[in-house]
Amino acid sequence: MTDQKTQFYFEIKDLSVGFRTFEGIKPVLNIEGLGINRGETYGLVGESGAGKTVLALTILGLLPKPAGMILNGSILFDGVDLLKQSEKQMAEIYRGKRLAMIFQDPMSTLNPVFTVWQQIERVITRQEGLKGKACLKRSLELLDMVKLPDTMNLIDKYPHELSGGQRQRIIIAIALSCGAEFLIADEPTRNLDVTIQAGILKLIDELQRDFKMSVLFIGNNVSLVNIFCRNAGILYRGKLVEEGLSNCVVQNPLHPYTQTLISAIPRSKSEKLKFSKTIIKPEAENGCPYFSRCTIGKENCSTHVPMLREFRTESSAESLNDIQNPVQKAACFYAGGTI
Amino acid sequence: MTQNSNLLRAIQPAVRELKVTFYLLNRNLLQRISMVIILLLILIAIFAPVIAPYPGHAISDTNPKDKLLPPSRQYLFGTDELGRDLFSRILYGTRISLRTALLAVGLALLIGAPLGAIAGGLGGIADEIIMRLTDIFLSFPPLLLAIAISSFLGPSLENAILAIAISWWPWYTRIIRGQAVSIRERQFVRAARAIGTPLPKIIFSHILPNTLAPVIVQASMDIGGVILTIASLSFLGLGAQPPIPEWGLLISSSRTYFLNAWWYSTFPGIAIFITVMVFNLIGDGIREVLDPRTRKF
Repeated sequence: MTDQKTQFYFEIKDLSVGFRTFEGIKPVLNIEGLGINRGETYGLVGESGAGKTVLALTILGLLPKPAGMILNGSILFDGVDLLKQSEKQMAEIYRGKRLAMIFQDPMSTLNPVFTVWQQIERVITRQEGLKGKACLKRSLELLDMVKLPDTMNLIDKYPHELSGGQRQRIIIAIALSCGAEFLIADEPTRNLDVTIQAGILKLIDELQRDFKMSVLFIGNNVSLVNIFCRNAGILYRGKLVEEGLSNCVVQNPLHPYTQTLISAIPRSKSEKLKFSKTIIKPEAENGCPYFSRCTIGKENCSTHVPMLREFRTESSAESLNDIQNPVQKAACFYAGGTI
Repeated sequence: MTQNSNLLRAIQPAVRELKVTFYLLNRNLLQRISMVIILLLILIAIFAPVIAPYPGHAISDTNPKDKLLPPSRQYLFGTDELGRDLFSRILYGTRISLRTALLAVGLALLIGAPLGAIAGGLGGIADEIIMRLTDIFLSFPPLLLAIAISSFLGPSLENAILAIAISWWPWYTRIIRGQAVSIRERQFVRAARAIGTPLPKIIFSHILPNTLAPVIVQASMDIGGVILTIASLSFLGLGAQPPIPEWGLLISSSRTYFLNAWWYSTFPGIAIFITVMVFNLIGDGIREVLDPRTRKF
């Protein structure tokens, strides 16, 4: 068990990130542990403001400068602590070469004053040293790879002349051009049509298999993560509240927050949507972050912070016998209870 | 596909945008007239020796027997106190005014734009230092600073250009810095960093080009202002020195003959007026056209 834990290709340990504000340092992210193996996809789900994007930026060392600060912890990537790398090392060795990121908003991720060609050319010239004919060939190849039609024509257009889906594909093409081993996809399908969404997800999936990439997939849609990722983590207020194989998490949610999330997915027209009655209780300052919205919380929840605990529920043990270690973790004293 | 066509590929879209800009400018009558006049001014500046009836009068030739003649067929705009043809001198003056204006604005941009991009792109101490520096420069009345600098450097046209550039750059720095601060926070800058672009490159090839639209507008309007300032400096004896046919200098030397030779000050004045107005109009037009929201097809 312990051996396996150290073998993670990418691992976050005891990471805590805060923002400096007028009232002092506010912690926004507090992750005890998160590991991703090589070639694996990890889905991170959480509501807006949970700290998903902050996590992505922390990994790349791009936290907003004066305000954001890393308080504690380490991010190990291939055995190297990314948090200990200098800005120069990050820019030269990691960003764009070994780590790549797809940003959530395709409409503003491309520079509006340059054509698609100029933007791709820069990256390819820098990363692969290709120039002229070879560079053009390579960029057309990349655009073909993300299944964009009419690439010769498209390549001379400005971003404002393209649709959101086209832009997102170009962004993916640029992100992939560097052949990164670890891809952070921060809600890559936000603001996109459902049809394009499916296409983009399929694309990332295929590319991931082809290039043996590890992917940290950030989303706010549990069912999507279930289809797409092997493991899933649920983030609430900067804390992982549940983690496990995505199948287990979706079929047998342990944490009350996850249960609420999953019951919020509309299944059929006839079924009445179950929105939990949110009784907002006062915040528990030293307690469980979910206390104020939790329906099963008891007295001790407001005074003690629950840690991630391992669970071996029957269903997960039965249905996933073939997979080693079907452990599900949840940070709740009363995990497994029904709402 | 050769290297050459790659270059073409980089230029072509920009040419397309330029075409759209010209097409849009051309649709507004006032701007069309301005463009024609600017083109005319440029042609005059280039072909002054060919057009001018008395090219020699533009520099040193004198003709005392014809001094202070009113406009006539022989001397279209009349003559000055040394009998020189004013028309020829004003044509040559176009050359001087356009060149000095472009040089001064260009120099101011060359100083101001990178500083603004650095201030806005880096933030922090660099921002603070550069912006306080612009504050110092902006705390002087603009003409006064130019006067001070050119009298310090010694009166000549080149020093006047330098003086204007030095008193003008803080405006560009401010405009660009304001833009850069907001563009720095945009997603594409973050994305550029995420693929490992070094910071200097981000500032100069991602942030700076995005700040240029308002600066182009400002610069094209400033050309008029700079022509006016150069004329003012020359009028005060701090810019061009005789016998250079600079417009402001022409007006300056016409002062003595103002009451009995109206043409002497009027025609250079009209030349300054038209040039300044035309550049202001075109600046306005460019502003409308560059902003997609005010673009009307």
